[in-house]
Amino acid sequence: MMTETITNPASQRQICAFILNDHCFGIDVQFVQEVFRFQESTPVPMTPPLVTGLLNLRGQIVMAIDLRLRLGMPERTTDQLPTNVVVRTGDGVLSFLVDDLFDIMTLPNDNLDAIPETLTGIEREFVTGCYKLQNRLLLMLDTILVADISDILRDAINAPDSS
Amino acid sequence: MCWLGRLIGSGEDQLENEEFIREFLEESEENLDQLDQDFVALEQEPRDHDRLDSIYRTIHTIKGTSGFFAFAKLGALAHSAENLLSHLRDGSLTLNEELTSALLDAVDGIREVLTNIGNEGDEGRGNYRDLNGRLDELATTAAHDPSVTEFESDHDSPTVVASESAEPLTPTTSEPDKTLDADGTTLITGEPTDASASPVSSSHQTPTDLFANTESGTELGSSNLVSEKPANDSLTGKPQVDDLSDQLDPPQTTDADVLPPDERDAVRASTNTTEGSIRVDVGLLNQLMDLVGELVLARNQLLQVGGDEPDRMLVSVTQQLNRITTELQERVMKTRMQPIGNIWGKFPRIVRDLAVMCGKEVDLVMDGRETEVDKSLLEAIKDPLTHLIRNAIDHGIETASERNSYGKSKRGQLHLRAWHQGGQVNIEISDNGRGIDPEVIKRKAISKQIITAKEGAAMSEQQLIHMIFRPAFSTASQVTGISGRGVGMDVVKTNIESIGGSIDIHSRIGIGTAIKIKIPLTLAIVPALIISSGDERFAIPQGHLVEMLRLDEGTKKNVIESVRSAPVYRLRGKLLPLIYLSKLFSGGNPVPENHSGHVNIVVLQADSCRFGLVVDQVERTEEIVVKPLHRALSVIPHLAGATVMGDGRVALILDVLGLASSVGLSVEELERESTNTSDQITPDDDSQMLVFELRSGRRLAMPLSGVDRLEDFPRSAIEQADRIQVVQYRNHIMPLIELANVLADSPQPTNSLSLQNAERDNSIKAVVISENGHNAAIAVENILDVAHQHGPMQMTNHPGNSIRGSAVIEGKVTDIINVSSLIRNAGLDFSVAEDEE
Repeated sequence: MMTETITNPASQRQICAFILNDHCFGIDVQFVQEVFRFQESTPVPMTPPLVTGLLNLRGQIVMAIDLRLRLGMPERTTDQLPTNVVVRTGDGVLSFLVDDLFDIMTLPNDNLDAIPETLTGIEREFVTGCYKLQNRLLLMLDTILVADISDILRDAINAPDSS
Repeated sequence: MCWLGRLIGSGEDQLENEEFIREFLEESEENLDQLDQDFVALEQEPRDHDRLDSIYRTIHTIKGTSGFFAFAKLGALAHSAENLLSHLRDGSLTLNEELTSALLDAVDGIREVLTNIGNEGDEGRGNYRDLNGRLDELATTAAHDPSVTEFESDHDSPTVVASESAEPLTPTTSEPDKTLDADGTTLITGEPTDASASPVSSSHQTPTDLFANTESGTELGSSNLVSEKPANDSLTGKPQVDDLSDQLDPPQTTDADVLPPDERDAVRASTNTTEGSIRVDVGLLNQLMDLVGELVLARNQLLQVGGDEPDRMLVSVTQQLNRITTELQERVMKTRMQPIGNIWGKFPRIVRDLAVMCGKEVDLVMDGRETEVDKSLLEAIKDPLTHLIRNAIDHGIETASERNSYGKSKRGQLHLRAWHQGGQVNIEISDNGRGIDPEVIKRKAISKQIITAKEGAAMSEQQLIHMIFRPAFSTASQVTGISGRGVGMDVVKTNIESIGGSIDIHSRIGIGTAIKIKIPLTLAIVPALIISSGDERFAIPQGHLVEMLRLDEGTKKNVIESVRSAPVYRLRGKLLPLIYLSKLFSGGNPVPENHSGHVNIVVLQADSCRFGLVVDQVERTEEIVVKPLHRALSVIPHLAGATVMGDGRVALILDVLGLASSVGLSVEELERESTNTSDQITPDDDSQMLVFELRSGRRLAMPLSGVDRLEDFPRSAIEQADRIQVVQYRNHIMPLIELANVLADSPQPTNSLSLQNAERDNSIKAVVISENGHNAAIAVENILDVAHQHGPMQMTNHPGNSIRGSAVIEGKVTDIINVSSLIRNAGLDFSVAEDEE
């Protein structure tokens, strides 16, 4: 009888890492459908600024959200063109707008550290833990939680003339 | 390696089992729907043995399979039903209402268990013992009961033949031809072959023999009957029942003998029906549809590029691709189409059950069941249609005695029709029942304070009948339980409209009611109006589009008013609430006014609300491929989806019903305001005036609402009839009123228009009016304008005068015509209504 505990690929994970406001973030590659350069999008009325618009991804309509705003970071300067990281969760397909792609890397599953107390300027609830890379910290994001923006949208619609 | 083995072994078995079960469920579902229809049809024509056989086969298959998967409840139910059916087949029982109901209940029970298996994976908690008992009792008592024969003799002949031959008539059956002759001449009139084909032989046979029989023809069957069974079957019913059920029970060894031909037959039947078709997952079809949508977009892009390209080769390849894509799109769309008969299949059963419940007799006639509709739409109209059918039987069709007293045929008729027309599907549900009494509707609406008595008096019959679609009306009648057609009709209307359809109703007291529904062929690709607002384009599904208006800068200031700070436009006397799309979508922020100076209003109809959407530009109409939005965006009521435009950019599709909810004014408020603000002498509809002049230069006007059409008649068309001038108009003779003469206005009085103006031009302009169904043409010199009469009117105080008064219209004094008086003064009598028939 084989057991599940021996070393197998499941104890490692592939991570898609990207840059946001000089921080390095990672999401599990299983959620990532594809990564592509900036594309003009169609704004969606009545949505908060974090919804940047709708993209045509080979005929599929994909909503893009600005991950900086989602994580409570300052807006990107206008001369920076973001990159799309398309993720697929149970709710559907979303594109995370990030500053730049960092790397795709394979890391051990259990080497996750707690988030340093000194980390400020982002919404900590989205970070599940971090990896210490050679010269920087890779913050792992809870992709499903980050992608769940239905409450934000509902609040934006229901708030009387919030904008 | 163990786990691997498990995966391959039991795991795959499990998978395979699940696959089997799924297939079994799918197949059974279809078969059960068919059963409903078959039973109802069989009740009408109990001697239809092909149908009975098909029912038997279905139940038998379900029973067999349930044994295979060890579904005990299902097996027991199917067994009891099958047992009862076998008596029907051998003629020891005849289908009557009681039996049909019991069998239909069994079908329902089977369906319930199957649904449970599909959803929960087990048979569920339903208890079917009573039902089983009822079925068994019906089977056994009927078989014993000597009164059966008597009872059955009330019915059509074949049953009598059957029951008689079930009694020990062996001597005669040894000579089948004689038996048939004897029975045929005494009991069967008109259909001897039919009778000889089945009832007699079946009464003496097990199902197995019957199949052999039907396959090989009557003669062979009859000889079977003679050689093998008579002695056995001439016994009384009971042992036969046991014998039968034993043979048919799958676990019994006797199966080996009994089942194979039966099974074979079932297999043959199923291969027959599935030949040339395969089951395809709907999800796969949807993906195909998506891909084709993309291909259409790529094609559109290529066409744009190809248009600029001088390369001939590219152009011709592009055209080729264009042609193929269009065809592919059509074909793929067709794969999602299903005949409307698929949902009609349940209706005979519903009609039957309801008719029995209400104690009415109803015939259901269905035409056009092959009319194809997109699968998703089919699902969407199922409930509304069912509702309408229920209504028709419950409220529309009268009881037999009531119908008799009106001199109508005893059986009511419900007629279902479907046909394609102009890219839409029409569905009509009509009954020949009592119809809807507009007076009753009016009284009820007034008593429910939906309308005032004054409003009620002003409404036409058609308007009153349409009141049943008003939400308030429906709930009111639901609460009080008053029998009327209003229950839930607003829901029906909303459902139909939510898929881009429309519903209309016509009814005549004592004659019947017809409801006509129009729905689009498909929802995946819809025609839409592309508009722009700000920098963005939006698509509006064309089903909601009423008209488009363009107001020039000059008129804009005058006509856009505001009621309680909400902008409105007065369109033909009615207040049209306006939504500024740019303002709505900027969250109320001030928007730079567009500089073109004019206002584009797209008039949209959503439910009972009509409103104007102010947009920057109206671009074009286009077939768009509807794509869903991310689930989180569903909280925005104004958006229905998105589509990709020819240039690859995304455009949002507006949800017209959602937009309507942004209208700041309720329908009631608008109606009140409409009447309030224009409450000066003339009713609201009359504030718009058709202005024209006579040859003398005299300006006249009449309410636009009274105008049917404007026509040009050639002078040669003017004829004389009974000393008045007439023209032929739409196969009628229409009097021509020479306004100048009636008003004694002509500067040089002449006798006849046709003579006087002959030299000027060859046609005359006429305003066609109608009163009480009569038409008349008023000849005028020139049609000037359609204008609002804002100021007060100076009344003339001469009753009967053709001029009602004078008003200032567009800065000039204008006389306003009293059309009724004018008609009288012209010597015409329109007081008796024209009979429409």
